[in-house]
Amino acid sequence: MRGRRVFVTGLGFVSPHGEDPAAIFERLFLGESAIRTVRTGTPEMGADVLLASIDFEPGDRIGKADRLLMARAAQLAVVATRNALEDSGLMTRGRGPEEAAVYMGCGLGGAEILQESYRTYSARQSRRVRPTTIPLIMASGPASQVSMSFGIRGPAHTYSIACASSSVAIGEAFRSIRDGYIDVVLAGGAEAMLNDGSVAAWQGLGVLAKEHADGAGASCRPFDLERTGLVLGEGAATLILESEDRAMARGAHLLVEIVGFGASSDAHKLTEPSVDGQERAIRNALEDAGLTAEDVGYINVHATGTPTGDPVEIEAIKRAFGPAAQAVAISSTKSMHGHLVGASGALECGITALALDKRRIPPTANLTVADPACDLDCVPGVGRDAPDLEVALSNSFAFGGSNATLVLRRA
Amino acid sequence: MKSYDFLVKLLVDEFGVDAVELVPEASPAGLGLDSLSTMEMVRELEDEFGIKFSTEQVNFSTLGEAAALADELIEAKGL
Repeated sequence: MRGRRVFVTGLGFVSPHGEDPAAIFERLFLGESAIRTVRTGTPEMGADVLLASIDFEPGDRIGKADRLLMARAAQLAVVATRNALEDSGLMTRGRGPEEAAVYMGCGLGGAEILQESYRTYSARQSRRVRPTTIPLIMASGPASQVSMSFGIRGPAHTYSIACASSSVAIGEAFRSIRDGYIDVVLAGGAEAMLNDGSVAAWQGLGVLAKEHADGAGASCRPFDLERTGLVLGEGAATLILESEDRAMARGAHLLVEIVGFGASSDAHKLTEPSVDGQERAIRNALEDAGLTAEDVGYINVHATGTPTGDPVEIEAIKRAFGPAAQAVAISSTKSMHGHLVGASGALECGITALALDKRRIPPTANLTVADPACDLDCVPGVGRDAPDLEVALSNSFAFGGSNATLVLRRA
Repeated sequence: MKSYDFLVKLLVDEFGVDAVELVPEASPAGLGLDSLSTMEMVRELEDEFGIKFSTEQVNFSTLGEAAALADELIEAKGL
């Protein structure tokens, strides 16, 4: 389906590797992991956990009174969006374009606020829970706070689709602009679920990585024979999506073009992925873009580093791409920034945009001995130059079997 | 008076209010606090001194009034 062309004209990150996109990309390109061992929780109940956490300090970018009305995920979203608006040149005296929309992905919303309220109720045996608890725990907090912080008066929508949340937010933003409903969208996602109660729940699921002999940074190992699981991260990423007409009229810098979006559902299992569902998302996205697998030079894959998940995505790529699968470079940057769940799609879409812009492909870190079941070109160790790179995909596949693939092209 | 001092410290440290704006005649709205933030402020005051504002008492209009109410409740508790 053809419609208006859609470009990314601004990028904003608050990530485990920092906030500056160029510096983040450089560290990723060199294979530097931001994963570390962190002591979480209370002295009695805490644990040492591998995390890609952020030493986040909003400073004067969010006033103290405003912070009291924002969960951590919303604060991350506001700062990432501020960075994106400044990058795009759309910020005027602290305000964004009021006619814009906000499409944000988020999984758990104010997870730490919910934990605190339950702690008050259960541990302190008190019903005196903070009066702001309800509005702070909602998954829609990031979108609402971005709208309020920057005076954005178009729709402020939240997509809560587990690990695919922000890829779908960007995909739906792309469609809204392409199909003429809106001209500019602040699209992305935020996640901050590294509070101890949430981490314990992930531990209960049995999917988290164990510390590798080579240290915390070597523990997330997608496609490697010694992979043991995923590492949770936190952060936010916002992309400014604009119609071609609007971007050209104001002389905006065009970072990358979004040309396709595909989504599908497995209709299979809650946490067990399916080749069929992922294959259909990839095929749908390429068809939407009017491109073929031969056009694609790079895929930023979903692969989280779990023993079961990674080979499923490899098989889905092989089926969707056919013989072209042998020629495409793929990498999982989660090996370095961890799994940001509701923010992962936006962060990885942003990294993919930078890879196209720079014609440099970031690596899969810690991939030393490949699993024979993961026998594609997984760009192990360090990044590589890709002088002919024109088109790339960003995959996000969620618990519940929701799959999303974005197609990006050099601007 | 101790509750007024507590309010001043709370509003400066946690709510980011400029200390020079903090006079007994100041209203929460005038300091930039919306109704939800005012409820948070009252809750902190209640927790600090182990008191409870009634629904009517929450409708104070100035910081001085809130502090005077709190002082009354603290005194009543001590009896």
